[in-house]
Order: sequence, then C-alpha cells, then structure tokens
Amino acid sequence: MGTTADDPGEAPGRNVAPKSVIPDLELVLPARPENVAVVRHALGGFGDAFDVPDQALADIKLAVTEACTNVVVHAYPDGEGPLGVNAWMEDDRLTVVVHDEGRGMLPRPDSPGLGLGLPLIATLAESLELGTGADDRTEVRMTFLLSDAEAAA
Amino acid sequence: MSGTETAPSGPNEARVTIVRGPLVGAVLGRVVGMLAARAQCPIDKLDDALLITDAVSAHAPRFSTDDRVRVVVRTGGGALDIIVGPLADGGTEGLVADATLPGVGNVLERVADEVDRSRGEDGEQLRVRVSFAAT
Repeated sequence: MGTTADDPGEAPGRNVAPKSVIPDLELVLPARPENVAVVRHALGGFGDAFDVPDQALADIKLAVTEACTNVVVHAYPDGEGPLGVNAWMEDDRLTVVVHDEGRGMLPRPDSPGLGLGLPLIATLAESLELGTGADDRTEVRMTFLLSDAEAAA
Repeated sequence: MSGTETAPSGPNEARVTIVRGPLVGAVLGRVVGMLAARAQCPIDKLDDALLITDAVSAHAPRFSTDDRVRVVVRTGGGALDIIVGPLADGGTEGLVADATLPGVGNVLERVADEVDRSRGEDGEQLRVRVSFAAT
C-alpha cells in the first residue's frame, strides 16, 4: 500500500498532487520508445503482486502506455530526458502517475499523433488529472477503481 | 527518431524503488528481463541475470535502509549491472552471504562476472555484473 507522508512542502498552487504519497513503485527510465514496453511489463508485475483482475490490468496497461508514449513523442523535442512512473494501491484504487521533465503540455499543431491518447485514458480510468506536480514536472495522474473490475470478472 | 522505432539505442538504465514485500520480485524480474532482452543479452546470460535478480529480490529487503528497496539496472557495453542500495551497514556482505544455496554455493559469486561492494553517503551499495559481450 502506498504510504502517506508528511508533506511540509506542499504547494497550494499545485495543479496535481492533493497529498503526498510515497508510491509502492517508482520507476525512472530514459524516455525512449523501447522503454514503454519496460513500463508495461513492470506494471504487469505490479498487477500480479496485487492480484489485479486481468481485464482491469489490461486497461491500466493500455492507459499507461498511452501516457508514456506521449512523453516519448512530445516531452523532449530536442533530446532525451527521464520518463517516470509511480504507482500505488490505496483501498481498492490503483493510482499511476506518469511524469517527465519536459516542456509541459502545450498545443502542438504539428503533432504526429491522432490526438486520441488522452481521451482513451479518460475513458479507461476512473479519474484523470493533468498538470504540474512536485519539482515542476509534468504529470498525468490516473486512478483506476478495481472493485468494479472485480465485480465484473 | 520516429515514435515507432524499436531498435536498441545504446546504454539504458532503469532506476527502481519498490516497497518491501512481494512487489520486489514481481517487478524487478520483469525490468531486468526487459532491459537484458533489449540489450540483446543471450538467453543463458539472461537466465543468469534472472537468478541474480531472484536472489536480490529475496534478500535485499532485509538489508535496505528503510522500507524501500532501491535498484538500478544498467545495460551497455555488453554488460548488465544490477546495483542495489543504499543498504544498511553490513548489508552488502549480508546480501551476498544470504545468496548461498546448499549444494550450489553462492549464487551471486558463481553466476556474476563481477561483484563489487562500495560505500556511498547514503549507505553501502552492491554492484553485480553479468557480461555478455561477444569475444
């Protein structure tokens, strides 16, 4: 279970991160296409360890893949930087935060994508928050309700 | 680089922090397996790397400085490094000693090409290397 920590540095103006949680899993990799698959596999292990239902885990991996792909494609147009994924369980919810230290979320008329990634994530997740988190990093925070998936299984 | 390119692109590194418990083995094995595969590690060496990962997952939590296990997995130059730490005082020796199996011997020292112990500001660190460069 994610550990809630004292957070004396909590900034009231922060867009995301209503409270500080020490994640069960933190993973940081170079933002490269091949490392999106590493994140998927790591999340698979996370799901196995917490007995996340298969269908829910498939949805979670799809949503997180979309978020990670956004980092790889958009975050560092002039080079490479870190791709971070934090995940934790809290009651019957799994929260995954995908973060980067790139240029933030800006309109991009020349985007190579179809613009379907964020709507897809919003459909798959119970909640989706976009914004700036700790250390001014860009965050996509997704929360997945697992009890619904268990009932449906 | 295009968004769909999948060829390996040089050295790679994953920094993993995992809460103590069943999550360590479940996640770490997959991360090591994926990075090793991406580095074109041969199957026998991949097996060696996963043996080491299992030993680290089983024993490192006992020696970590808090309730998290911190591991860096690095590939490049025909080698895979698994770097565990910070560990508490005596943690590197304890982790290596605990990886001994009856009738088999010490998994880390028998399987790895290098086992290095070092001390940093935060604690001890164990680096285990599996080399697979073509000779």
